[in-house]
Amino acid sequence: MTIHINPSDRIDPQDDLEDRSFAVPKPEQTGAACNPCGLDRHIDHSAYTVLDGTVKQALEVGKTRLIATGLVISVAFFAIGVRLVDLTLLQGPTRTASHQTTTALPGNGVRADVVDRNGVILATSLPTASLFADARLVPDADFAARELQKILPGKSRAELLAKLKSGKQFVWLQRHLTPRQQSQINSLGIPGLNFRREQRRFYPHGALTAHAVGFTSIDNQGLAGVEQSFDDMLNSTDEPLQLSLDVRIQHIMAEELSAAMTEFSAIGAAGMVYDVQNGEVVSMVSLPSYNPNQAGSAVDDARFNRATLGVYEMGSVFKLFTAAMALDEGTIGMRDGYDTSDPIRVGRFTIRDYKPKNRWLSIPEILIYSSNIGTVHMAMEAGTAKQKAFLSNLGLTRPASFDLSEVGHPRLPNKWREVNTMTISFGHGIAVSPLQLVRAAGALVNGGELKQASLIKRSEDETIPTTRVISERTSQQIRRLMRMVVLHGTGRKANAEGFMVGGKSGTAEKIRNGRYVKNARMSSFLGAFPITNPRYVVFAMIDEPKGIKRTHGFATGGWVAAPVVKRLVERMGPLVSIEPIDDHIADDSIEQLLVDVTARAGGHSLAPQ
Amino acid sequence: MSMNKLALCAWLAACAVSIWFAFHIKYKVQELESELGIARAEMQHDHEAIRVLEAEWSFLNQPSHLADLAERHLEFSPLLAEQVVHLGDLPARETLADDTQDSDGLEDIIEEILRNSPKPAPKTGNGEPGSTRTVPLMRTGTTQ
Repeated sequence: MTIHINPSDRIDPQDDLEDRSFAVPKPEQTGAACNPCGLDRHIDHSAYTVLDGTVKQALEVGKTRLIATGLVISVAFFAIGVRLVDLTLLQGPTRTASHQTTTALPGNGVRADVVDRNGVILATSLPTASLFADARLVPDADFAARELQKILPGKSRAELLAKLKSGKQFVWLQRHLTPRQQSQINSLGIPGLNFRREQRRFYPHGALTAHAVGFTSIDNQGLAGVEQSFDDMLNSTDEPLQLSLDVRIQHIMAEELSAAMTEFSAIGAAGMVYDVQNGEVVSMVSLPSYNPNQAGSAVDDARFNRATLGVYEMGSVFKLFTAAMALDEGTIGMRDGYDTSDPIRVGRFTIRDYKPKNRWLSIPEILIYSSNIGTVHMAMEAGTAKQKAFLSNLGLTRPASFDLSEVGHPRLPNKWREVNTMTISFGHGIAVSPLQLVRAAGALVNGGELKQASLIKRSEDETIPTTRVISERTSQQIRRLMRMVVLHGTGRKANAEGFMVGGKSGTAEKIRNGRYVKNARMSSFLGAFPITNPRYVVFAMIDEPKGIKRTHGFATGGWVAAPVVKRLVERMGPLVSIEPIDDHIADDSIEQLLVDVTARAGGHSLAPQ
Repeated sequence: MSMNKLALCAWLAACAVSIWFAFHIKYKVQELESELGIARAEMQHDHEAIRVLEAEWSFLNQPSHLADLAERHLEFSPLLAEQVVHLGDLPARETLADDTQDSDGLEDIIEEILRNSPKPAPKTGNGEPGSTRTVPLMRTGTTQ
């Protein structure tokens, strides 16, 4: 490719003139033909003109400029090429589907489920749509407010109008629409209204597990129950959180408690089923309950967890602990007893029996007849320091460590005097939560080991924090005593046949303004079954039951709470595969002990005070 | 000269082929990626649907709801302790053999159940509604 610059080569003279104006530095110089590279190739020697210094210089300049321009352009093209390859081949895949969808894969960003011990869903996250408006884009706020109000019954027109006229770029109109509402709003076709996909917590079992599972805020932050205490875990994992609760037993407990509440016109109730082998809480009911799907509208009393947060004076149920202490310390034996004919006077208090027997009572009889006087003698013989240490070992003097944050602080006497030792021996002057109580009772019956209570299902091989509090032998004695109470004492109405229930009833007068009130009671029953080798501790407590005709006006633990435990055990026994046994055979040895013990009246006498 | 040209041609051809191949792969990958995206979106959709259905299943399985349904549609009642017996507590086989010498105990029981079960109705329908017989879940023990 050559460019003829020399006009003399051309035949046409007119072209000559035009070419002269072309970008040739010295058009008058003829005879030079050069290509862009400046290499002269067809030099016409006949019309040769000498290239002098200036011409040569000009050509050099041209050459350099051409090279420079060429270089710049090729560099640019090269850069574009490199970038093209880079974009299409190297960087391309990073911006395609695989990366866009991984963030939206199921599980990511979805709060984990809460399930019961059998995998029944107790809390789950459902996708919902929430309505928001870009108020600047809504053309006719009045119309939009009027139409939206028809679809969203919970919102007032004025409120919607104010939001739509606010001029804000983003304003929530309604969170968590129903699918029907969403489609209705969609079909309105109003510009500026938009949906945002959100997750909403849903509790299929509602009030049944409300106190254990808890609830979340509208932005899915846990506010109560395990939703609160396991908030971070639920947000960070996909694995469902498996509770130790069994929804079936929970249902039975709630049903029986609420039946008792209705029958005795009570104001509340609490119940627990506690696995004494591994510390799992299988059922935890607090009544009245609330619907966690509308937690905002629940009253404080319903949200209050009576099973873990409430602390109550437990009454005669505590006599089991006093007996366990005295037996474990060796201050008494099963065949000993005390004279209970005289009430005990301490300062301005007089301690009497509810149903006085006015005679010597053996240890089993003291529990069977629930003798306050006998129990006080037992506690006094062991002493204040030992009682304090024993109750502390059982975890009754400090809040239980538990998987919920709603854990009550026990109320203890400011100064543990002798009179406190006496009242505490039969469950007054100390207030503990039902959770603390079942945990301590579990230790009494399971062979003497206090376990860490758990609301989360424990795996088979998990090591459970355990401390020994009483000996194996004492535990066995306590189990016998509990069985005797059910066979002959105040716990007769808890005797679920075939399941060997042992237990102790408790009735405590409630304190109002620092005084005990006669007609406001806490009636409870603490049971364990099967007593030969206990697996569960069962506790039922009814708050302020009123006596009725059927119970001859009584509203004590034996009349109110014991039947609840009986029906509960009868219904849950087959569910948890506890094999019913012929209790008459098993009871024979216990009966024999009672006969032996009562035959020996006056075995052990109290040291003079 | 001709060798050089040939080599050049070969290089150009190889270049062209590799470029074509690279883009071919790229478009193929893009296509697969979009398919993957669609599949993942479908999966997510299905997962959400499953979540909703599982929640509904749990809701419908509320123990109180089941108890209500069982009461209305079944003739079962909660299992009582005396309904559970040990195999050893069952009457001995000899007593059965006395009645029918040539049949064994289990066959006898099955036969009895079959005899007592409602006969399939000739028409489509479930027999006479008044005389539906319930077969007990567990035989009542003979102890006590």
